[in-house]
Amino acid sequence: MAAGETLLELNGVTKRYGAVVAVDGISASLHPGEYLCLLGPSGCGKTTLLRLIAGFEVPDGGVVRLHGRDMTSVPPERRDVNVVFQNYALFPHLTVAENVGFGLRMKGVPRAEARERVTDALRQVRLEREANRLPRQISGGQQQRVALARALVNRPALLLLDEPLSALDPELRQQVQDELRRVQRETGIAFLHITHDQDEALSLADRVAVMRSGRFEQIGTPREVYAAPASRFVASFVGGANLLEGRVAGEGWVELGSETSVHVPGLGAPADPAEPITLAVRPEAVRLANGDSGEGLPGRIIRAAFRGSEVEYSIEATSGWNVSGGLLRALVPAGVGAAAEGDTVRLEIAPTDWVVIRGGTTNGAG
Amino acid sequence: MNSSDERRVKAPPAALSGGVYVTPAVLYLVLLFALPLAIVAGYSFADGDLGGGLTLENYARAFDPLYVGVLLRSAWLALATTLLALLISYPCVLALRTLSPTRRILTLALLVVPSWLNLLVKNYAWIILLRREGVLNSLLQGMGLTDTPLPLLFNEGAVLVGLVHTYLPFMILPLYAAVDRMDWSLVEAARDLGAGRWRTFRHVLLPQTRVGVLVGSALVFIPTLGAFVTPDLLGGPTSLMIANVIESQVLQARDWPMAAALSMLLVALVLLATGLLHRVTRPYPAAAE
Amino acid sequence: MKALHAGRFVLLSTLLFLYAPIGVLVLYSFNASRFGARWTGFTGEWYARLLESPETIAALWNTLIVSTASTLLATVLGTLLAIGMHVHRARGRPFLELLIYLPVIVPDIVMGVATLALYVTAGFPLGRASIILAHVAFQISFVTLVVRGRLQDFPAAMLDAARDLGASQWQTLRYVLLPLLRPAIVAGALVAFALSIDDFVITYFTAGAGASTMSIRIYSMIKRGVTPDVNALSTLLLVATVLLLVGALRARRGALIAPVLLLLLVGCTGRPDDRPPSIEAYGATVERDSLASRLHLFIWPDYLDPQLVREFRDAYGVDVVIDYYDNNEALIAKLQAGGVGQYDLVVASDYAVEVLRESELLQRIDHERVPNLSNLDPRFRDLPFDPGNEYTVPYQWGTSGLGIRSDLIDGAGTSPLDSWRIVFEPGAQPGPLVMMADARETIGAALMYLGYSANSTDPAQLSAAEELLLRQRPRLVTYAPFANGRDLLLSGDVAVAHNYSGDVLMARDEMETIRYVIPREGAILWTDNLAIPRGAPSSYTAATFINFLLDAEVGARLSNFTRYASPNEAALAHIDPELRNDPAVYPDSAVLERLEVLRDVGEARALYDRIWTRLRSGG
Repeated sequence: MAAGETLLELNGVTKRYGAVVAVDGISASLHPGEYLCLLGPSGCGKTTLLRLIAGFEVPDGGVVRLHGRDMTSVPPERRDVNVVFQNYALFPHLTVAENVGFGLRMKGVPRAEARERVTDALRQVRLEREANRLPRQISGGQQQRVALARALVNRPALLLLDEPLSALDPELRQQVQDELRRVQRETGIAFLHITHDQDEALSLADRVAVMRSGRFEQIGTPREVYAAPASRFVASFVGGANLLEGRVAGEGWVELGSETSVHVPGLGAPADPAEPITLAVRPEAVRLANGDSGEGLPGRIIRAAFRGSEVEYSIEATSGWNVSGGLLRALVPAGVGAAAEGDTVRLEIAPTDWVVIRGGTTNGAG
Repeated sequence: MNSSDERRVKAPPAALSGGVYVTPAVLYLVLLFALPLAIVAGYSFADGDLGGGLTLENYARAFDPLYVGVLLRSAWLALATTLLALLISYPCVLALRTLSPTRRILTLALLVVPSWLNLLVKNYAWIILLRREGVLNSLLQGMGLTDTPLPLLFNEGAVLVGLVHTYLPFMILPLYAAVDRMDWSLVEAARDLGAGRWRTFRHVLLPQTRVGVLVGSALVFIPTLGAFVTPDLLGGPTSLMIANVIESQVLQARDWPMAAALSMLLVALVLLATGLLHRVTRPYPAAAE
Repeated sequence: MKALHAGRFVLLSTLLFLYAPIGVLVLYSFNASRFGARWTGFTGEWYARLLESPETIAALWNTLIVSTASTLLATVLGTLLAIGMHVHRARGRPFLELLIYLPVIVPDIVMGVATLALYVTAGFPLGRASIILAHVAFQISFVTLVVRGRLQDFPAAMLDAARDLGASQWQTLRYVLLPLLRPAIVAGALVAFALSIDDFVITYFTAGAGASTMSIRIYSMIKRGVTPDVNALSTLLLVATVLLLVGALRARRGALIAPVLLLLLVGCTGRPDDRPPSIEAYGATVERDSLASRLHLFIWPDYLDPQLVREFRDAYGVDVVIDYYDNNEALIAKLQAGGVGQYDLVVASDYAVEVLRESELLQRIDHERVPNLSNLDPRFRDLPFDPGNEYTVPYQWGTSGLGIRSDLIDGAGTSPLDSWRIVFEPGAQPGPLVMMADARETIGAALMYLGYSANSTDPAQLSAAEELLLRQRPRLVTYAPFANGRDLLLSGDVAVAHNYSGDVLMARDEMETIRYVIPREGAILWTDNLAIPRGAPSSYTAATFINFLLDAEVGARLSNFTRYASPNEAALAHIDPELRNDPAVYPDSAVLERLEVLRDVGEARALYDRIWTRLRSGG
């Protein structure tokens, strides 16, 4: 395959169930060897999209192309794609080794070669010793690794992972994330990893696709998605940004309320007078300053939660501005200007830390 | 985006193979079941012989309170048998779970084997057990529990015993399958939340094993409704059931149209019960995402 | 934990409940008494007799073959159906559901006769295959129901995983779905097997000659009560099926084929024939070439001495293949629905002959082939239902009267015992009582007591009889079918039993205090008759057999065996004197005057039926 050639191409893919549109005209591409995370809340259509790519469902509209070939009439068993299922779907009546070797057996790979590949795969996920056990005899984490090995041993061009970490304990999650990344690098297989956990997506992926109500709201590198969210949804879903509504008062100026204006460099003149706009700011970009007077947005601390290395403040706007959800979140390194609940504070935000999301409250909808 | 990318796609190929699996059985049943049944239906509307004209008179005669009474009594007995079988099977199945796997299979096999014994011989053995000079009465008198022999036979109670004995394995098997499949942690959760045994049973166990209960009930209720050997042998003077009536129409009275009409009524009654069963056991539709 | 013990207790009690009758069954198979009623000692003779009886062996084979074949076919079809419905979501679900549930619902008797009618219309031959096909029709539903129970929450992801890994539909089925479904499939097969083994009604109507299964044999033997040999038979069957199951569970797939094939290959063995071309015996000359190799006889069980069968075979080289039925109505129904053409010879009671003649199901007997007709007692040459013996030849005859336990009745001697009064007058009843569970017999008894004919069609007379019976009903222990009255007499559960002469007399052999009386008001005289159905495979052979039975010696041996009365005058000289001189078996002419022969009542059938239904349903 020539470099730069697309591995997976989705072109206007749509899927409906009765009146519900689960996947709404999605177009995107995936490159060979790429790690793409599909991030979105429950019900956004990500599992449906996975099933469409794997071949368990057929799109009502649009085309799925793999290696440039139209996959519409190709059933799952003949696609160069493998799936790691959410609950692993290990065959309870087969041993670990038999599970892993299942795909090879189905395709008629000669026994000797199959045995070797199975051993390799097991070694790769470090489960050689469990080869002859049954799924019910091993732990959840081990089962997940078996599921992974079972998919990988077939050397697919694309691996689909359906919320692979959701059933695991938090300590295990980090470990498995590292494993996944390592295995992906080693094998060079493209991974399409579905999750609702934004930390997971940001840390693992080469690119992140943020999905909502059947559409991609944004596709980009983790940095892009984090720092330059294309919509309110992306901003709040990824990184939990605070969203402030206001109007463009002039070039580089946004009016947040009757008394408050902030300087936002690089902001062009408004198309209409008093054009609505949403400004997003990350919790860690908010600094607290003392007192009732001075620069910054006025507020009062409702709650201060200690988080080890930092303190999370929930702050209520006292006048002249408001924040989506009612409370602004600020993450401040512990030990720096500690404030207590009930304190009146000023919130200082560097102008460059404002992220502009055009269109105000209607952004992202429809 | 070119137009070919936006074309409609036909239904997935899976639907075809569903038909392939189903066709042999369907063909078979149509030929060897539906067709004969159609013949019976034909008779029920026949004026005399098939091809002699149509009439509703057979049904009019079948709705006689006499026959309806027998039908209702039979339904009542069938219901009692089913409930009794359920009552016995549930504790048995729960107890089965506590046994080791090998013992469990063995006990299950033991529970099923009696169902292979010939029905008539089993009933006759019950006669030996239950009659006035029979084993049970001798035992009871010997133990001093009663002075005179008890009338354990030739009444509806004896019929009930015989029916339950015959059909118990048909309730145990599906119930066992359902309990086996169940997620037992739900029971533990309930107990943990303070539910006593009865409430755990009623609110967790029963709903979770609902399908098994209903399948087992169907397997007991329906054949019991059509039983005629057991009431004949073990029953008293008035234990006539609907299948006996139909049989006598076919054999004694040789009144085919009448027998056919009564049969159709019986079928209708059970269809009603089955329809209810079907609504309640409808499997959950596949969820999309 | 208390619940644990309670549960185990219920389990144990249930096992006890399920096996108590089986224990009794096995125990009584060693009963020295010929009747199941009382225990008189330990013996293994019944097993020995069974294993010598060719009919039993044949019935056993038939049962195993039929049930195994039908179970296999039904399991495959039913499993496929369940998979198609639940895994592949085949279309037309409501229709499929209906199709599955209906066979479970429709009464056996209706399906049995309807299926037979279908076979006849389609010209499909009756035999073992006809039974197998009929069984599968109702077995499929049960298999499907059991398997779908497991399928309904089968994790779909597992099947997706298989496909994702490259398995084709077939591979998914073979390597994932079927292995995981195996417990349910086995359970379904077990259910189907049990249903098939136990089935009687459908089997009865769809079986071909010589294809009688165990259930037919056993049910038919009920006329004689469940004797220890039936118990022995059932025990053997049980052991055989358990062994089959254990073998099936343990064997590897391949090893199972061998015994199954073996079963299926058990066929008839030919017999070298070295008889002369023309046989002279029993007063007739018979051309061997005109004889069939088999004679198909349809008769009540225990009604023909097996010795005679052997003798016939030795003389003529013809195997007598016997099938059984348990009452006249069943015989009529089977022949009417198209079973004619299966049998060479049937044995039907008087009124049944009338019905068969009316339906044109019998053929004339060629008197040339039956010279021994001259042996018949003249009284039996012109019976009302067949004057001149055109279609029938009497086989045995007897009466229906009262069996009495003289040691159990109170007030003995205060009222004459040979009267229907003792069953119909409350004050005259000397002890617990059963009447026969036969509409014509019991209604007939009431009619005769009231001074009317047992063949009355007068609604007023019938109404009076009904009232009498309704008044009697509360005093009855029950209406006893077949020979149960005899057993109840033996066991002491009743003191008076309305029953057939021969049955009561058999009981008398075991217990001296039993008497048989013919009520003075009148009683029914019944004759069982040999007849050749229209379309018999070989009426020549049938006629030869009839002639054989009419031989004086043979006739005597026949009656000595059955203990009924013989219509064969020439045979009387050779009959056991004890029987010959017993007025209960051969009543004198004064008594004979009072006896009435049952006739078909034509349209009044419906009246009788209604009375009987009202009587039996508490109406």
